[in-house]
Amino acid sequence: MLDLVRSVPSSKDPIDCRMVAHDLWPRRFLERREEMPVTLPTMVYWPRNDDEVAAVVLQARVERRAIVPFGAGSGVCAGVSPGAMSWVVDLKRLDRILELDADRRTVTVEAGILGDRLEEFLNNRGFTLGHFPSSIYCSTVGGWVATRSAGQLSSRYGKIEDMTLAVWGIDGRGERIHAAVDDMATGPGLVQMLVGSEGALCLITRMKLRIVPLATHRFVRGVSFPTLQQGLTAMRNVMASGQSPSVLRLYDPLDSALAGNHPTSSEPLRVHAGGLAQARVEDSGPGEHDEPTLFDSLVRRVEELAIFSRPRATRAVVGELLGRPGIANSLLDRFDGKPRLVVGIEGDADDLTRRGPRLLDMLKGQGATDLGDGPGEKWLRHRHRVSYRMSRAFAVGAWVDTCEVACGWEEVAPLYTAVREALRDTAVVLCHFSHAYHDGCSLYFTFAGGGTAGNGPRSALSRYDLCWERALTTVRRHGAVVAHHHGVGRSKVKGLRHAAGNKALLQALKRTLDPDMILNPGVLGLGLGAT
Amino acid sequence: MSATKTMTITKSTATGSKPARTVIDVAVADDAIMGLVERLRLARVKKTPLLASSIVLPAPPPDDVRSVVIDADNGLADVDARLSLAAIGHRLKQQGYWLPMLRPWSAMPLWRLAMTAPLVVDALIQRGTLVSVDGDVIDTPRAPRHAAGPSLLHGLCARPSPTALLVRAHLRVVPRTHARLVVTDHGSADAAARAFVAVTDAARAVCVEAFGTSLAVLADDHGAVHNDVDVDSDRGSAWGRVSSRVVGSRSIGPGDRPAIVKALCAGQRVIGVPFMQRAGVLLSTTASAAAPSLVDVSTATTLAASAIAAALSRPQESAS
Repeated sequence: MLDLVRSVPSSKDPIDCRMVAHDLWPRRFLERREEMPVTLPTMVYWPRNDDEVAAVVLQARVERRAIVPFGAGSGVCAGVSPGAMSWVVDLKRLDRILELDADRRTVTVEAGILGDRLEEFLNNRGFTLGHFPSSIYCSTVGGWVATRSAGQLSSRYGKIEDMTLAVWGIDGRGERIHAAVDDMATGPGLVQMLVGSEGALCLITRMKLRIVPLATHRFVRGVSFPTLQQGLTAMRNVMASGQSPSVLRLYDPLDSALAGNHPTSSEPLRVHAGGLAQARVEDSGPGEHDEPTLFDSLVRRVEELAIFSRPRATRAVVGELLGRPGIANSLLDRFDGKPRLVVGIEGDADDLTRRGPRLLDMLKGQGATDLGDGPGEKWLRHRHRVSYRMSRAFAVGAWVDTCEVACGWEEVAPLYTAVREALRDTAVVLCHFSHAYHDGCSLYFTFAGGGTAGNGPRSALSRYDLCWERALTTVRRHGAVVAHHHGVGRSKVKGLRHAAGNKALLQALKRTLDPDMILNPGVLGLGLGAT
Repeated sequence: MSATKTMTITKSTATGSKPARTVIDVAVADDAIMGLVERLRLARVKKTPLLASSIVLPAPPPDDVRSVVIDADNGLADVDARLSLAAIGHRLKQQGYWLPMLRPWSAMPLWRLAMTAPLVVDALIQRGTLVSVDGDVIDTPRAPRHAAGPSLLHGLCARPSPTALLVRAHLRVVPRTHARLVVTDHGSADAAARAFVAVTDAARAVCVEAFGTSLAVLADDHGAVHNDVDVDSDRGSAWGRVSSRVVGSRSIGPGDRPAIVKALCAGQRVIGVPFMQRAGVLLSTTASAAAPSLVDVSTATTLAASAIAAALSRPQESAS
C-alpha cells in the first residue's frame, strides 16, 4: 500500500461504512422498510487535502476498487450507491474557505464545505453566492457542482454552473486536473464538462465561485390565476420583461388547494428590509414548526372532510388511500384550487418601490388576483425545511418522491398534463413550476403512492418503480430533460437521452480520465460493469 | 433531415504539405448538413486527414427564410450557422429582435466563431445541431440552462479541440420592444469597469459592453421604449473605432473588475451577458486566439478526449 494512503483517516467499522452506504434516494427507504439488506462499502476514507485524495485514487487503481465520492449524502438519485468491494471517499474534511477576492467577486472553497457555512461566511462580509437549494444546511458545495444544482433564487442568480469559474479535482488516473473559464487552454467549455460529472470523471476537490453583493431589500407577493396556463404565460412574460425576479414559483391547482386558502388582499405594497439571499435571517432551516408536507396536507384535508380529528387513524386511512391512487385521484379532482404564484424581487428600497408595483400591475394585467405578502413570506420562512425529515407517509406503508425536469415554455403545460395522466393509476401527483428562465423552466413533480409489503406486483416497491418508469418515459417522449438540479445519478439513467456523438465523446473522456473505470461507476450510465 | 437537392463537392488539388481545401456547395441548410456528413464520412472511410480550418461552408442565400427562424415563446432564434454574426444580427433586427451582443458584429461564420470564441457558445447558444468529425449528426438537448450531466455542447464545439462542427444553433435573443440601448461615458477605464460590474451584478440587462471608457447597456426600460440607435453609428465616440474583426474570446468572471480594466486599457472590447451571468473579452488578433486543432477523422473522439485530458492536467501556473 502507498505510504501516503496509510496516513489518510479511514475506517472499516460497519457503522462508519453504514453512514455512507447510500444517499437519500427514497427507494432506499422502501428497501429498509422491507428489511432488505444494505450493501456496505469495504472502507471509508476522509482525506484532508488533494494529495490524500490522489493517494487514495492511486491505491484504488492498484487494488481495482471502485471509488464513490460522498459529500453530505443529501442526493436523491442514487448518486451514492457503493458496491460491496467499493471504497467511499468522504470529502467533508476538505471544508476550508481558501480565498475571498472582493475585487474580483470570487470565493475559492474546498468541496466538502456545507452550503450554509459558506453562505453565512459571505453574508458576514456583505456578499452572497445566491445559491439556495432547500438542502442548503445538509449539502456540500462540491455536491452542488457535481450535480448541477439549482437554488431557489436561480431565476436571478443562475444555477451553480453559472457561478462556477474554476474547478480543481483528482481524476481516475490519480492526477490533478484544473479548468477555469479565463484559461485560454480550457475555457468555459471544460469547466462545463466537469460541472455535472457526478464523480464519474474526477473527484472535485475545490472550486472558484462568482459572488455578488447582498441586496438590502426585498419585495414579495402572492397572486392567484384562474387557470394554470395563465399562470405559466405570466411567468414567461415576467422573465422576458427583464424584471429578473429572484423567486418565481407557480403551484398547480392541487398543490395550491392543499396549501389552504389565501383571501384576496388589498393590503398596501411593502418593501421589506433584508434581501432574499440571506440564509439565516428568516430562520428557514430545520425547526420545530415544520411546513406541512404533501402527506400532512392530505391528512389535514381528509380530517376536514371527515369533521373529526384522529391524526393517527387518518394517517393510516391516507396511507391506504395512496395504495389506491385511482380512487385517491378521483377524490382529489374535487378540490378546486387556483394556481398560486409566489414572486419576489430584490434590490435597494428605492429601486423596489418603483419595480414592485410595476411587477404586480403586469401580473394583474395577465389575470392575477393579489393575495398580499402572506404566501411569499410564508414560503420564505419555510423554504429550507423540506429536506430535514422523512415524510410520515413512509411510516404508514406509503411513499413520496420528487422528480424535477426541464423544458421550453411551449412544452411545459403539455408535459405537466401528460405526466399526471401517465401516473393517474400509480400515484397522486403534485407539481410546481420554478427555476424560470427566458427559455423555459423546471417542473418539480411530487409523487405519492402506496402498495402492499414485500416484492410482489402490487407492492410499494413495484409501484414506486413503475411510477418512475412511466414518468421518465413520458418526460423523454416530450423531449424534456430528465434532471434539472438533482442530478442523474443511477436512478434516472434510463431517461437520459444521449446523442450518439455525445455519448462517444463522454465515454472517450471517461476512458481517458479514468482508464480503470473506478470513479463512481454507473452514474450517468458510464463505467458500468468495469469494477 | 433529408438531402433533397443535388450537392456539389469540389476539392482543390493539395499542394506540398497543405491539405486539400474542401468546399461544400449547397443551397439549403439541410443539404449543407448532409453534404458535410457525407464529406466527413468519406474522409473517415478513406482515412484522409482533414483540417477543420480547411472546411468551407458557403453562406446561404440572403433571401432564405429558413436561415433565421424566431421562436418567440422561448426567446430563441434557430439560425443557420453558416451565417456570420453580422448577418444574423441584421436579420434579427429586421424581425424585431436584438442579438445579445452589440454591434459591430463579427463577419466570421457562426460555425467557425463557435470554435474560436467560447464566450459565444457559453452565453448565446442554448442548443445546437452539430456534425461530428466522424460524420454523425448530433442534436444537443433542448433545455433551459444545461440541466443534466456534463455539457457536451461546450465540449463538442469549443476548445481545446473541436470534435464537431456547428451547423444550426438556437441563439438566445430578445424582442426589441423589451429593451433599449443606452451609451454612457465614464471618464476612465476603472470607472467603466465598475459600472460594468454593477450592471452584471444586477443581472437584469440583456447585454453590456465596455470599450475604452464608455459603456453600452441594452436593458429593459420602464415604458419598453424602442431605441434604434446602434453603438457604432456614433462615429464621434469610442465605438466608432471598435473593430468588428473578432476571432476569439477569453471568458472572465462577470465581476472581475481588474481583468476588465486590463482589457479596456489594452484596447479590447469587454462583453457581458448579465441575464446569463457570463462575461468575456473579445479578441481581434489571431495571435492571441487559439486556432482549431487538427481534426483527424480516424481517431477524432479519442484524440479529443486526450486533448481535453491534457488541457485539464496542465500545470496550473501556466493558466492565465
